[in-house]
Amino acid sequence: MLRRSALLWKSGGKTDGYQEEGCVRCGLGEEGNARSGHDHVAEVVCGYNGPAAGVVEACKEVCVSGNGHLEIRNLSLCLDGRKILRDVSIDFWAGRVHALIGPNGAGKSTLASAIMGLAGYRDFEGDILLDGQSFKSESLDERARRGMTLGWQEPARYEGLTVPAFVLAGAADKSQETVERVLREVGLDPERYLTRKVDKTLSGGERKRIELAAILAMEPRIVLMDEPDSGIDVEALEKIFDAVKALKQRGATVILITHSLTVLRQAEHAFLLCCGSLVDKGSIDRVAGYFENKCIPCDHHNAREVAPAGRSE
Amino acid sequence: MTDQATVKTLYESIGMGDAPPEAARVVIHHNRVLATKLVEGLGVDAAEKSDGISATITVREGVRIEQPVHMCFGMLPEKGLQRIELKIRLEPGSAATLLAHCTFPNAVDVTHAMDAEIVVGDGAEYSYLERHVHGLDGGVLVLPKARVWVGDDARFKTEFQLVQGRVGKIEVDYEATVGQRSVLEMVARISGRGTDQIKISEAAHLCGEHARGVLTSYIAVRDEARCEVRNTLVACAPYARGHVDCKEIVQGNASAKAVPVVDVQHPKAHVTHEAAIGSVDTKQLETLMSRGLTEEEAVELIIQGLLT
Repeated sequence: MLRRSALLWKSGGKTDGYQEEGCVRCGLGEEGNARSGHDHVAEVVCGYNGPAAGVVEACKEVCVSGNGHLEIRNLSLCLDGRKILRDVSIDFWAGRVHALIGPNGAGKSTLASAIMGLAGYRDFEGDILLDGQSFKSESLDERARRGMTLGWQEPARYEGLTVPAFVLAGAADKSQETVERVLREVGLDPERYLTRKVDKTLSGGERKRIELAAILAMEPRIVLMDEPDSGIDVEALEKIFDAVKALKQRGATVILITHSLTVLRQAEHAFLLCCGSLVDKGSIDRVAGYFENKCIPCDHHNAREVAPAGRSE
Repeated sequence: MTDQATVKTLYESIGMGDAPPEAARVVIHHNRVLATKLVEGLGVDAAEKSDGISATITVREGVRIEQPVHMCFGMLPEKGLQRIELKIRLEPGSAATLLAHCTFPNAVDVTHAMDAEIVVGDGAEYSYLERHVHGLDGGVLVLPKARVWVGDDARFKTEFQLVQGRVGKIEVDYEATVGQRSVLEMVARISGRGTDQIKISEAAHLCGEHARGVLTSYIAVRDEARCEVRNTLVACAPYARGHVDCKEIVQGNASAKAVPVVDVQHPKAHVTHEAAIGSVDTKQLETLMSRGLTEEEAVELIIQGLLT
């Protein structure tokens, strides 16, 4: 009952927020839907596992199963003795674009690093599942070979490595046509980039787009994109958003990690992290409103007022 | 083996199949000049000696040779000594690129020693690109030594690269003096494994006003290989500018040492240095692994980029 209590308290003693919205995918829980029910909505949107198991299972069949469904279950992670993530549970549904939003230091990148299995982020409590199977014990490259990848906030530079060699490193089809196609998809002229190196001669924005081209070439099932707008001008940002749409059209599950409302608007569903805890989730308007009205004004102190679900301290 | 067959074998060993048809070239096997093709303005005067050859290569004043002049120095036997004495003269206003392949594909105990004097005249441009092809067991001792004089308003570039096989033991010793408004660049790219030993000593003296120089070493060592890089840049004229850059990737039980020396002898000169030695950068590695490459594949790609 702890979570339910937290949920009720978080929404100011009302349960209407979740009940009104229901499941963004199947519509269960929406007003007037014969199958609606608070417990179902709480499970899908809030992680609450209530008594109406039949409804929950029905929704899982529709929404949660599929190729590329990523489940974060009660994940807590400490770095240097400091708790960075606190009992985080999230469902990233297959084939959808999600935003993971929160202020600096909320734990967004840490969560992405834990999901991807980067060095230093593999020792945590809880579990991560892909299509129902735990992959916590798998290495970074094993996860990547299952179709999971990460676009870095600040992409690496490589002395001497050419753009085609970098783009094709993990490509499903290692042909020259692939390089040219994906470069065009991110708005870069292949003629100008085929002989370039992924080194300091490229701007941060160019490297960001070349990394995204490499991700497109990989044809992944799950893409985590850490701050996709950092160091990017307005025109290039549109290309990045186009690439996000392209990934979704190809059936990929996309997770945009951001503190930008512009990036948030590219997603279909959002999760708000603060001080390592999940404090809200739901539709873009709902989370954007919460972020604008509570997180931005409070300058990271919001979490002290609003005890998030599952927070033990 | 006929001379023609030897030339063919040498070219095959460097992956060229046959001699490039149009370009000027000189092919030397052990102590014999097997083939020469000259172009206008290029002079080659070679003398065969008991353990190698002595040659003077001249590019006449104002002549600009567009295609690289190809030189092939090789030894097909498993054992032997090849000593090359080279005098290279680029007369004022001339320009040429020398692409030199040094190939010892079957070496078990081969010594290749080159002693070069290079004079790049005023306003001349000279690039010397040295590519080494060794056997898989690395039974080669390579001793390239060059003394270089770069005149005023001139450009000189040298690039040393092991493109195939094991290093064996290599000791590069280059020293250059650079005149006014001239530009010098020395680059070494070498990958060592097994018990390879790599020693690089490159020095440049920026003696003319506005002279510029960059000394760069990209080295990767693994297994039990050893590497030592000593790059020295001396700036003794106003507005002389220089940079020493050394990047070394170390794996396994290998070891690497870099000793950059920057010596500024004029208050208006400026020299910088940068050295990065250690394992492969974690972010580079993890990025490639997040695309599905294994750690070994990712390291190989990073090193390949560094050395290419």
